[in-house]
Amino acid sequence: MKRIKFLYGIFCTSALLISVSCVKDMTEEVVSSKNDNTPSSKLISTSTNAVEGQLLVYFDDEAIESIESSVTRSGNTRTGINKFDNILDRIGVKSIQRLFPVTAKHEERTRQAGLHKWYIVSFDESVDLDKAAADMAEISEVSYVQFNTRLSLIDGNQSAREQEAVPLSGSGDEQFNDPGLVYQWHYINNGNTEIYSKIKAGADVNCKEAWKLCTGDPRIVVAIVDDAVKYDHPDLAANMWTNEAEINGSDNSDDDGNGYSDDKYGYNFVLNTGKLDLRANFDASHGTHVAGTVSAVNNNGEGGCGIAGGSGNNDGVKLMSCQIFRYNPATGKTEGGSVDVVSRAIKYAADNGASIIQCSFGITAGNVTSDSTYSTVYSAEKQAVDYFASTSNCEALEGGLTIFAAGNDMIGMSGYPGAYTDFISVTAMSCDYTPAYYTNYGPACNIAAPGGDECQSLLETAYRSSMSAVYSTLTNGRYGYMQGTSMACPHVSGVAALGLSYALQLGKKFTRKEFYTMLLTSVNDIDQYCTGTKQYINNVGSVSTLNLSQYKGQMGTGYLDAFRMLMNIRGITCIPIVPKNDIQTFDVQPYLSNSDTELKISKVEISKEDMEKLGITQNITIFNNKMLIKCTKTGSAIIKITFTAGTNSNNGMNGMSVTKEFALVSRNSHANNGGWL
Amino acid sequence: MKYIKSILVVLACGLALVGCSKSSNGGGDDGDISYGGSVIGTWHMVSWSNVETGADIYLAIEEDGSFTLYQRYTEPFYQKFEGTYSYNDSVLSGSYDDGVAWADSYNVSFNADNTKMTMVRASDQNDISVYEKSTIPDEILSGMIVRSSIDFDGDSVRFL
Repeated sequence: MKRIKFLYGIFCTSALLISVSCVKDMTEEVVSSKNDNTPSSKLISTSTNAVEGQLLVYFDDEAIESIESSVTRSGNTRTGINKFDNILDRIGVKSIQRLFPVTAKHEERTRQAGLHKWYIVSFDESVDLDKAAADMAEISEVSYVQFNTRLSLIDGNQSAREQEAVPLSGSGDEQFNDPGLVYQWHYINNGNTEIYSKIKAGADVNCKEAWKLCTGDPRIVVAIVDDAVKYDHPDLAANMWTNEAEINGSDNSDDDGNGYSDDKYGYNFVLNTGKLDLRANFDASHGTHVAGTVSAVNNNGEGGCGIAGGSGNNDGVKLMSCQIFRYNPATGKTEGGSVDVVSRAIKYAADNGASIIQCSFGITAGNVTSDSTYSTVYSAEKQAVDYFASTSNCEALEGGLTIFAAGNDMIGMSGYPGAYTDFISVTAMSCDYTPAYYTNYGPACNIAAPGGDECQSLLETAYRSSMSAVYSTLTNGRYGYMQGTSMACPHVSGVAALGLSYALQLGKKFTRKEFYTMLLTSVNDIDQYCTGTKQYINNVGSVSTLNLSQYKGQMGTGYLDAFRMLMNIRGITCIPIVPKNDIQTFDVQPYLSNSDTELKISKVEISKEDMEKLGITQNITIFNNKMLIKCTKTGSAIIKITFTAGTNSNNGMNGMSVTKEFALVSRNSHANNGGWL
Repeated sequence: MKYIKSILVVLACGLALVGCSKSSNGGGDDGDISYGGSVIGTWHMVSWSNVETGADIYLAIEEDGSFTLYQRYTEPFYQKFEGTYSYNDSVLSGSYDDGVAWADSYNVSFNADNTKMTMVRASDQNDISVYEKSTIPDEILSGMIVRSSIDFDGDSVRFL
């Protein structure tokens, strides 16, 4: 597949940054289904971009018990399966151990999920990976062999632009005293044209109204799966998740028995150490920047704000740093992001209390184009995400939320993992409601949020201003701009965290699906802005024109509104209908969300009891995306409408199927302005 | 005879005090006797046709003939409507400031101490709302969780 080049900085001297996603370069030479037991069918993925000297092996149930005791007895060098151990000898095995270390507290759940059957084999790096994998796949006790595929940035340039020294006139009426809030149009957009001449007030996630209801809750933990988060940043420190046992414990010891040592604020899965990798300048600020969007400390007179950063009373949601990437100053490249690293990080998040994984990374859109391919090729990683999704870490939610960036490839489909049907994939919006020029769009994209569009302010100010990008915390302890679906994604994670906080405070509990349904329908219309053109700077540094109509209906359900989300948490809403003796064709679209994006409805359910109550004598069906209903009596009933949030590719990529509950209110007449009386 | 007369007098006085409306009260507590009463005050809808609708309604009825309606109905936040009403012979009718009339008029009755009000649609005796005397929560009164009905793009087709 063609690799799409990222945008990179057009001025080397100024640290212009770009985007977000880190991408895998996978070709689609995947192997067939796991169902047949031939050796080739047990090989998952290819050795392209795989870590040398490593393979991931998933053993059969029957073999696992003896493998476990052999591995332990042999000091991690033998499985007790002769044929397999012969291969280990041949390849110069250094170790074979569980991919997911034992955490006593969670071992039972881990085993129920089958994750204890994943092993990582490390051996001589000069050995032919393909042959080693093929040999292992021949062993009958082996279910699959997976290459440890490495993520690589398509373009090694990743940096941020530090704050403009241009003071902006703020409106002065915001409820927090953080001086940087005036730059954060993506939370509260007052239409300040100093940011961009064509900025539009309201193009934000509506924190202004949301923060009057809720600002966060320290019982909610968001795992930042990314670069390390600068845990001692003055505007992040107070909101960091802390592992007290490790902070008060001894160095190099797993004081809380969770399988990891010195994991005080999270863990560095790249180097397998509790020490998070941070640099003094603002290289590799990606993780710190997205963390700030979720929960920078609010109202501390310092820096900017975070969506769920609290009210200034130590009440923001907590940030857990699950480091899967690191910037290597010697090579100038970003490392990490291999399947083993990502899988362990996500399981750690589940086992240590996170309710949300905030994942601004992915595979170039188009390299994987179906859910089945993703599940097969990234099997260990997908299983870890599933494990997280089924782990409940807060009273308000059954399960965990998995939120990904859609990618910045300017391609008409979401990148994976975000594209996976059960995961949220976030597209990016600019400060004037238009789609950001870089954003992926189309099938399997679920929702839009502000990601910034730096070209808007750059082009107007002869490349001096980045103010139309997203403003947040940097690794140098200060603040600056980045843009991307990577920045849009933490807006959704932040609003989700805010929603969980509010639900906790109201004493409400939701299933994961119910929560996603509320999130994906708490949106306003973005389609009306997908018209005309906009200019951007392309990958060779020239100004290009983008046609915006291609994004219409393709950005997900709409752009997220945090206030609407919080109000949806309070309870369901009503759909008014008038009883008639004939079948009515009823359009429910206006009630699903506040967006004009047409959502494909698959079914409407109602209980038998409620059908009798309203004189509904036959099942409600869908025709031409409208509800066909014969309702002959007045009264009210609960209906559940199932629809798709986002679009499908008809070839293995889907929007998320969600079900929303309403009270159908049948009265002889309704005031045509919507009034109750 | 004298004793019976006295009882009759007392009864007559009692009836005169409470008015004569003994329309059947489909909603509210069993055993509530319907009385005439005053619509003036702030009311919170506690049930509609004896079922949970998912709607939350506050109705403030003023002496000057105006009303304010706060409803959480088809939108997740509260919408505010204002208008005028008239109340004659236990029938309450009104129209909104945007010129739209209420969908129907309502036969109104009360409990004995005027803390509960039942509104039954004139055209549908099964359409029964029960309201209780209440105050409007600060977060609604302050406008914090309210959007004016005119903020919406007036998509009235859906209500027909």
